[in-house]
Amino acid sequence: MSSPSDEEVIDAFTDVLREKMEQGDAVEVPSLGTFSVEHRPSKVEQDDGNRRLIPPRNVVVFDPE
Amino acid sequence: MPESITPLLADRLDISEDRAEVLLNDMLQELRNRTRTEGVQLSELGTFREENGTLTFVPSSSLRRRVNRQFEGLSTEDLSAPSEKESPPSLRASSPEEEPEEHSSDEASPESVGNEEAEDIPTITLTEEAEESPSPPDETESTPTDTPSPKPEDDSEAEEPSPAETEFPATVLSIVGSIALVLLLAGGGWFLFTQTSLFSSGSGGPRSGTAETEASPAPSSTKTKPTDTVPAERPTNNQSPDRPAGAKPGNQKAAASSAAQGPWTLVVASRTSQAAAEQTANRYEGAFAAVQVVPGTVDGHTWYRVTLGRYASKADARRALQAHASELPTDAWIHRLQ
Repeated sequence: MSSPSDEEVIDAFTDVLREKMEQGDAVEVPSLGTFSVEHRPSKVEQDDGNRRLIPPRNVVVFDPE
Repeated sequence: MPESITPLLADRLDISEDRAEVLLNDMLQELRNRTRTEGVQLSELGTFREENGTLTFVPSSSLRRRVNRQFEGLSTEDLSAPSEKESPPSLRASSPEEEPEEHSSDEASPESVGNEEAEDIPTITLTEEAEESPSPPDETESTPTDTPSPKPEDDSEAEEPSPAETEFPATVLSIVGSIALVLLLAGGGWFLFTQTSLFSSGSGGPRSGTAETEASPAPSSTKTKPTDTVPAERPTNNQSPDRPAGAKPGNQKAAASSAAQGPWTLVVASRTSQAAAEQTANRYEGAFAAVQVVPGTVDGHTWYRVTLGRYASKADARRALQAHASELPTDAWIHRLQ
């Protein structure tokens, strides 16, 4: 079996991370860090007398080693 | 518990985990080397940089959208109290904007998100709060959404006409409907009146069967006053003829009530031979009931008339003739049987 090229490795690396994070799963990359998805609920933020409702969202979180 | 990427990568590349681990380490080593100098951007993933010895990752916009797909479309809403100059409440739909790529993944600070989306923040302004200068703190804190606060006097006055305004169209509609109904009834009555009037005025015309002349009869139709004898062999169905689709409802009722028995009938043809008359009668057999061939003598000659229906009065017969005018010959007439 031929060894995959660097580009294929990078593409596979990217695809795996994207798929896992889209599912909400955390992925640990050795010697790099952990990629995870955190949910931020909606909240009311007040800034200089202006109140705003921030909608809920999922964000990517990277925790380096 | 985070999942290690090595087996996932091995599965994706269809190689062994050991081989995947070697390839991954080579890639990551190169990545770490480059992040120290210039930063590494992986398309569809994000940008890696090393700042002060710490590796940072900024996800790309496509990755952020993908991760936040279920909340896509939601945007920040401004809940602040509007100024006195602002207009009545209005909502503007916000279109989801692309977040910039250079965005911290750790914090994803609401401030930055809010600033980025400030341009399309839907503005919710409240008229009640606009007209009172000091807004009570309880009301503003307890209403994070766009629910209105207690209405001041100005707004109550402004809103008083609304029930009256809603009732007004309903009243107008009822009046208009009643007027339309009255007009419709009047028009229908006028129509019936004119039709009956026309027919009574035209009773001496060529169509009417009461133009009883003793002239020599025409082969197709005769408007005479013969001595009607017993009807021919055709079954005496004294019921009213079947009504075609275009018959008028008023005429139908009148005809139905009087068609069972009566001396008046509609003559649609007059033949010198009974066979010819019966042949003509066959044409009306399916469409009309009480189709008969009635012989009569005029000037010593016997004529066989094809008659349709029986009506108690001349008016009923006239209405029936008018109702079926499209199906009957133009020279059909009303005749009274003796």
